[in-house]
Amino acid sequence: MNISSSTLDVRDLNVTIHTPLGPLAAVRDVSLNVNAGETLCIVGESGSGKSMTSLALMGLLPPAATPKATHLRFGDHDLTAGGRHAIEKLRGDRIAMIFQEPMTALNPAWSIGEQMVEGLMHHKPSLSRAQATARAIELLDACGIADPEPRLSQYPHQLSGGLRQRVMIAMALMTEPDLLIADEPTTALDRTISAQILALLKDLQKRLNLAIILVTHDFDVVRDVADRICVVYAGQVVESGTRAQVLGQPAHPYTRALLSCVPNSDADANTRLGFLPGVVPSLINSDDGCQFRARCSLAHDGCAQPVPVSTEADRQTIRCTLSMEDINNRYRDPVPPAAVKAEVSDDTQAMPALEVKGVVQTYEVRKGLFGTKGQVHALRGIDLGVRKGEVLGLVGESGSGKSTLARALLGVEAPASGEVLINGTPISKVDRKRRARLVQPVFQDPYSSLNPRRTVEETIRLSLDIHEIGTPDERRVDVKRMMDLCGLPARTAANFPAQMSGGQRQRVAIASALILRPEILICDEPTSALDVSVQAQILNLLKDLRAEFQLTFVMISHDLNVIRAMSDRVAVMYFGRIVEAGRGKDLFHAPKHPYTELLLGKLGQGEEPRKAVDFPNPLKPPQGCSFAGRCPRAQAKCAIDDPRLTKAGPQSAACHFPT
Amino acid sequence: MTLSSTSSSRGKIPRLLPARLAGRTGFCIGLVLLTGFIFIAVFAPFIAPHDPYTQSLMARLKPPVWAGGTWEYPFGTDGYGRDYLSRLIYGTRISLIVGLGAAALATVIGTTLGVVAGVMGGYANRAVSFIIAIRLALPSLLLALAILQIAGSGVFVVVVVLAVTHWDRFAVVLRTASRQVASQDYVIRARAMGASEMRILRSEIFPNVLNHIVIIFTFEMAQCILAAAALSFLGLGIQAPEPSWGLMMSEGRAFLVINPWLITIAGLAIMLLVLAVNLVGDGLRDLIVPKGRS
Repeated sequence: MNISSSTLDVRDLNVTIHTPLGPLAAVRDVSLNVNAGETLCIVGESGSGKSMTSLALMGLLPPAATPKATHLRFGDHDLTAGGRHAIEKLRGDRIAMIFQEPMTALNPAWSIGEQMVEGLMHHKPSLSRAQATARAIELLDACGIADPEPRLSQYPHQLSGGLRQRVMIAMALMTEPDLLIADEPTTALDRTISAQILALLKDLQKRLNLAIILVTHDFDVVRDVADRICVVYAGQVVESGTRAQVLGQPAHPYTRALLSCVPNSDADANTRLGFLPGVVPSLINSDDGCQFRARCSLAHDGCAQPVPVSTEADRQTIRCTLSMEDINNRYRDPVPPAAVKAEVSDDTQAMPALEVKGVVQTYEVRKGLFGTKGQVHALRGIDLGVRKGEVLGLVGESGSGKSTLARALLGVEAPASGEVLINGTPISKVDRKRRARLVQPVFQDPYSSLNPRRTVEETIRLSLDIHEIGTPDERRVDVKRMMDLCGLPARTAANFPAQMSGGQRQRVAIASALILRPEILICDEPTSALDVSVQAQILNLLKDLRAEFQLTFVMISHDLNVIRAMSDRVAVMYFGRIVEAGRGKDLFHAPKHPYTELLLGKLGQGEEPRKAVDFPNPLKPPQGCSFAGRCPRAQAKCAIDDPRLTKAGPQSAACHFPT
Repeated sequence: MTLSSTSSSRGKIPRLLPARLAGRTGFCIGLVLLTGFIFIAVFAPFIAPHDPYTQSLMARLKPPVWAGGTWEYPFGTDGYGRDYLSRLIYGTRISLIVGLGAAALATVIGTTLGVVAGVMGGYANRAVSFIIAIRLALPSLLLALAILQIAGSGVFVVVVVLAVTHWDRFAVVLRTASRQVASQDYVIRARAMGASEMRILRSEIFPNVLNHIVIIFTFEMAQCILAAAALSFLGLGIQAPEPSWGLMMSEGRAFLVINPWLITIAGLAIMLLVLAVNLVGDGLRDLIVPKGRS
């Protein structure tokens, strides 16, 4: 690799943040370089310093943070001596950045056109307004926005998430930068949209010979776009190399453990995921040794000393006290005991534990006090059955009605029509306390699912208090036992949610759901707010508890990998309907509905979904198939005739032309 | 994550309170002043050197000590020869009772309406919005004047009048706050646990909107003290011979040129009390809602 050709070359970048408790080494000795036309992925869990690294490169660090590098060169400019101000001159000109949440990165008070034209004219004062407008249209078009001209007069809130991110990218490209830094650019987006945005970035990169630094926690993204990868942990680059090297033959114990936590296509409901115990350590007043040693299975005394980086010919660079050969010989994948195979009744005639019959949910919306009324069609006729002991995975993008269905299944929100039956009894007829002993929820956001004013013990005990089960002493014993089962140390009993990590909070939520010994657990995106290694811990916990309590699960997620790793059967939701349902292995192996194929990335060549067509309007559902607008195989019939869920191979699909 | 070691964790507030007070000069000053006022109000009979109602034509318009008066009447006497200091001390009682009482009643009205609207939504929300819109459209001072004309004056009527004209902020803020809390997953979880709606209101929603109530309470209390003084000054609030600060200012107006302390001292007392309440309110807001809390 010829160093002199690289677009950006950084050596020994350190970022220290001064906190009241002492200096926090957010980034330490990070060296990286990226060449024109190349994508470098910085991948790590939260707290790894990956965002701090990208902010430092942009000169956008908060005032309390001090960056320092022994060598910093951008193209022909040596910026080492200039410090943070030198890079500010290049920011927004030769270097551009796109952020995770385009809603907050775009100014809501200005239309897209005004923001772009202002920016263009500021950047190149010689441009006239008309020229700048023409250029803005050209850029939006290049970013895959169909019919860009009317978009110029729209405001950010009028655009969907995917369109907003395209606008962000168009704005980043206004100045014709050499380097684009993208910080989690697709994390807030649905999977199908995310795939489009990544494809767009790749395409633009090829055309403009851009260097891209992409910061992410998502290994699917890394697998899709990376040329080279830096794995960061606790502020240090622990491993770096080409995509094939790092993903194919991970060397560092952290990379290995982390990759084993990622649910892959081999995962299924009966195997556990790999696991990485513990959490990222505090970086305040930390020492110079290997930061991973507390969680590393190969740690030895020497790891407390500063660790040099080492490279072997044709292999990646790692920061470890052991040589790659030593690691290879000594590293054992932490193979956890296989999950006890839960008993699923095979009797298809038996009464399902949970049954959904023709559930429709609508919400009335009204503009202002005397405004016009409208009806949002959230669920448009759902039929489902879950057998005792089974895990049903429910997958769909945002807006598909997953969470509405979850609330109907819990019985906390009555559907407009249709009914939910538990063991054959309509849930609306079950008294609320009895209902609570049958079905309990685990929600996505461990921040909002715990009352901030209650301690862990009070939270878990709440159900027992409501149901007046046992004496105070018995309750305390039961809470303790449940905390133990859910992997919560006894010393956390008096903690408030704000004092706990995301994973611990989710354990509290699970313990509190299980303390009534319900038969059914409804998990609504239980791990989407968590890091990969923590996600693996929680999913494994759920697998264990499934066997322990003979639970029936409904597992709701937008993440196909999570669904694959957890579910016996899978139902795919789109726009308030189930479009495909069947056994996990059938559905993932040979999807029948084009939407499932799109989610799985299995659409054939030339079958890309139509550009920038959004969800149908939930106020006015289309007459025909709701997916027809995006479907590459749609025909005249699809626009008129709404398909029903019918048998298609081993599973069933709602499509006129199943694969 | 190292949240367990940061000082913002709620569970450690009692232990860290002194530490959190450090550097909050305004809050400390307010707290000292307010405690002083409360002390004076509670122990007024023991502190006041004279009876606040006893008139003495022999001792009319005595000047305060710094203007050539004697220690017999440190702040001088008013036009009826009543000891000004004693009236000021008893006036603290009235100001605090009216301020606390009116703010408390306004809290009850506004919180009830706001929480009902926020949690129930739908028609309840629209009804409450309508009531708030009406309340905001009414000129509060004129409304107060009208009610006091009809119902007569007295501490109780003044408290009710002020409450009726000062509940809107509670309703507006608590509607938003409780709607936001009601949509949190822990509320849905409590419902799924079989908790009754009453229990959810009491133990899930209320504790999480309490901080808003405390903050608005202090603000509205200050407003009510000022408004009560204004009404008294106009002769429509507390009636003579009660030692209300607003009334004292009104009475002192006649002697503005020759004995300006009559109006100045009562005015300063009002200012100090309102300032103390506002400083405490600001401080509480900073204490209860630490920056950057999600």
